[in-house]
Amino acid sequence: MAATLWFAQPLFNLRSGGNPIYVEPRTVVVMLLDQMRPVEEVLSRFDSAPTKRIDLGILTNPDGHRIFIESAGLGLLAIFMSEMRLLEKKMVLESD
Amino acid sequence: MSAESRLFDAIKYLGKLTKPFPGAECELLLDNEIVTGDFLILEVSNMRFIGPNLDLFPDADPRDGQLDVVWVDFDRCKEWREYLKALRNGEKAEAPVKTRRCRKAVFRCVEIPAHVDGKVFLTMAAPISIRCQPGVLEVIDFS
Repeated sequence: MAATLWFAQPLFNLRSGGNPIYVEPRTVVVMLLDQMRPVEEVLSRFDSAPTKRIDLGILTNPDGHRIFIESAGLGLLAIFMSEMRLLEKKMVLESD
Repeated sequence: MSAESRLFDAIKYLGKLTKPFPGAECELLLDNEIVTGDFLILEVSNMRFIGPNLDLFPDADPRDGQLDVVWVDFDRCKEWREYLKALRNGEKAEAPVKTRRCRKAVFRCVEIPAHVDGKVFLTMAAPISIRCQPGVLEVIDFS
């Protein structure tokens, strides 16, 4: 989910000084549903929250390598993501 | 608009996109197993949820050193739409998916849209090989 990556990006340099940091997607999803603790509370736990190591996916094709955290796929969900992106852009333009 | 209604709309839209989707002919090699067919959805994941919060990988473990592969056969379009409808209605439903767990997946497909996390590609050159790199990303767990 793009939102997960969006959330991860600001965290990137805050604690690790360049090492990748990532927030478990489920946490972010819960946040999107307004059921998570306030951001202030999360940030207050930033230095004390436990860390864990997770796997990465590596996609290779004739064009090169791409790394993914969540998923890679083909077909309907790729079309859906593309269409949703276009809809979001349209909504932003209309609101301006 | 609340997050719940955005999610509701997204699932509804996914259902709407399902109808005209022509299916994707593809051949997969999942470790040593060959799978061929026409697919509606074909995803390889490290995580449990995908797209508009679809719980397609309930047993996914991002620390098991393996990939979870899930797909929906094209001839199960109707069941897929019924599944999405049930989600919209807040009902519990089982997705009409097939799943495998593997260390490496190779796709040979016709040219169809693909995504890698949130990045979408209108076409992606095949063959596509996906492997798992275990435990290489350190994350902060706020859960």
